[in-house]
Amino acid sequence: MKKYDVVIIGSGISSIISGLILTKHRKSVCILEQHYTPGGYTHSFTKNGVMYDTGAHYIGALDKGRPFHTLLTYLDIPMDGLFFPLDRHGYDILEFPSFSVEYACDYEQTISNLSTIFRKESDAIRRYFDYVKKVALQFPTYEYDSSYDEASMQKIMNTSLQDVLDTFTRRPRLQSALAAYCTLHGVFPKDVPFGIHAVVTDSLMHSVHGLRNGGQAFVDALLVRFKNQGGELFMQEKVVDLDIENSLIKKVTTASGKHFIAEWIISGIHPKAIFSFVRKHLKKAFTNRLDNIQESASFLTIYGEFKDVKHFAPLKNYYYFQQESPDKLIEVGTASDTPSCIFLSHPNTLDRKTGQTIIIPAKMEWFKRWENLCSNERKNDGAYNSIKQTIAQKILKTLASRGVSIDSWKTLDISTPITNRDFNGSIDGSAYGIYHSIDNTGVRALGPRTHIRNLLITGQSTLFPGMLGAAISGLRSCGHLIGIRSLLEELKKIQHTNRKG
Amino acid sequence: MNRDEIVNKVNDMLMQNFELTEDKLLPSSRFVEDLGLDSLDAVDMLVHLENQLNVKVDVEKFREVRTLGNVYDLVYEMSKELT
Ligand SMILES: Cc1cc2nc3c(=O)[nH]c(=O)nc-3n(C[C@H](O)[C@H](O)[C@H](O)COP(=O)(O)OP(=O)(O)OC[C@H]3O[C@@H](n4cnc5c(N)ncnc54)[C@H](O)[C@@H]3O)c2cc1C
Repeated sequence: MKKYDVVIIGSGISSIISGLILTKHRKSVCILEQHYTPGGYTHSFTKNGVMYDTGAHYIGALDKGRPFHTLLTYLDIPMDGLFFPLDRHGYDILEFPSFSVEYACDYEQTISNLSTIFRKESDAIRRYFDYVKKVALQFPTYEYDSSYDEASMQKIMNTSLQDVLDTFTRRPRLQSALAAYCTLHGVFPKDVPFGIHAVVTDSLMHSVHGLRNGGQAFVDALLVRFKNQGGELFMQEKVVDLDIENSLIKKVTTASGKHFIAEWIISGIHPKAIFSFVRKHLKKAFTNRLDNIQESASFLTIYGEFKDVKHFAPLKNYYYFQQESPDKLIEVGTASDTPSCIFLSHPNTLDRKTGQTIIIPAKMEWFKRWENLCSNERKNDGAYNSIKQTIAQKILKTLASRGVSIDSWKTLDISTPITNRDFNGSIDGSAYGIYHSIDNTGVRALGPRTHIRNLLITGQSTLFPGMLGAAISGLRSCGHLIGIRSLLEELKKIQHTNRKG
Repeated sequence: MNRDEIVNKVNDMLMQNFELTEDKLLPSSRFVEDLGLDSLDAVDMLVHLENQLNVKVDVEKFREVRTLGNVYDLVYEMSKELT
């Protein structure tokens, strides 16, 4: 049996980035993916001839000299044609019941947009964004700088967004506008470390791109390179067991009965899923902690088409928030409640080849009755289809009440938390993996090292959510095998050159 | 919470989660050498301490602790700061 240097479990973006870094450093690597399509939440699917994205709608930090661009340059990924810029002058329109504001790829412009609405608070707005910028720069794996200040890092990872907001303004309406990107990590302002919120915000405020041919084209481009560097990808190989001897994984077993062996194992699947295979080898201290970690919210997505998009400005996303209070921004109530937030992924983008999506936060609980049915059984279950349609109708009605012209919308398909769970293996269909609260991040985070000596974990649950967070988590996990300092130095050089150029 | 209460709570937490017996839980017990705990166990311990005692531990100071006595002192200090 071939022995690899590294077996990677799952083919989400964190796993593929790990595979690319390791093969670039001449390690023999194979990736095992349970599905017939690679990419995890970055995969796209095709229905009635139209391609739809599941979890790849827009990405930040892709301009030359920004962190994602630097990472892809380092990995020799040709980026032409994969991405297109959204409107730099206003890429996200945040619609609140009493006001509307645009975020732009420019701090000054965004500060000015907000200051027009909150005139008396313009100084606080400026100071808040100055702080966001300053904090984001402190992350070693975002700025690619290995010399960081531990004490200030602790401070930004132990202070909640809400605490920071309270120091700048007490007005819930303004706080809501500043906390809107809680939708992008799924953590309430009182729980999320300010550091995570700052990186997510900053990554978008320099550059924002959509994916021209969907997340799948991006994944395919990464995999071409991975294979060219000697990496192997095995599809429909669901890992079901890990054999342990003397605290080391000796063998990875898949559902098809195959075994894979390697010096190191990197898991890019949900931490609760990977540790379930080795539970009896772990101390209660760890398993008790793992069991108590909450999941982030899940999403329900409607896939379809606005035949007439002229009501939407080109190249902009739309967020419709229901409430103007930071603790209610991403609240998930019952299936019959009006959604706290509705996201339209840049509906007027003639340039892209993928279909349109409308997304709301959702809960597995809404679909408990059907969670044990397989996908074919669900497809034919009248009650399941009916609840999905009822929720979709509610979303469309809410959009109409907010002035969106929905007459030309045609629903093609609807995915629920069960779909997410079944396709991705995320617990309860969570969109962003574990709940990234102060208790589960920074020094308290799970991974990359684990109690099993040759098992590293990667993925959005180990660092911060989103494609960028997941990709950087791959870098960080590989740092344990190759040396994080040298990796960061190589990346820093590219970033530096590109910024100068 | 007085110091004795803190010592009892920390010890209970260690017995429940790390399966350590009471006779090993002395203020002089060193994490690595006497209790067989490593740096990853220390992270688990930090999270359990915070949850069970409802305090947020200063991570920088926690990094310096080497014995159980150091833990009792640190938690005592933090709980005093809270009150
Ligand atoms: C609806 C939605 C919208 C989103 N929109 C955006 C966005 O616009 N921008 C953005 O940056 N991020 C977005 N995200 C988040 C982003 O998609 C994720 O953060 C990122 O893709 C996660 O990558 P990952 O590597 O952590 O793992 P995942 O994508 O979760 O991949 C895990 C992989 O492991 C496989 N797997 C699981 N169990 C096993 C097993 N036992 N054996 C083998 N393989 C297994 C799965 O099939 C999957 O392929 C969105 C997410 C959702 C759900």
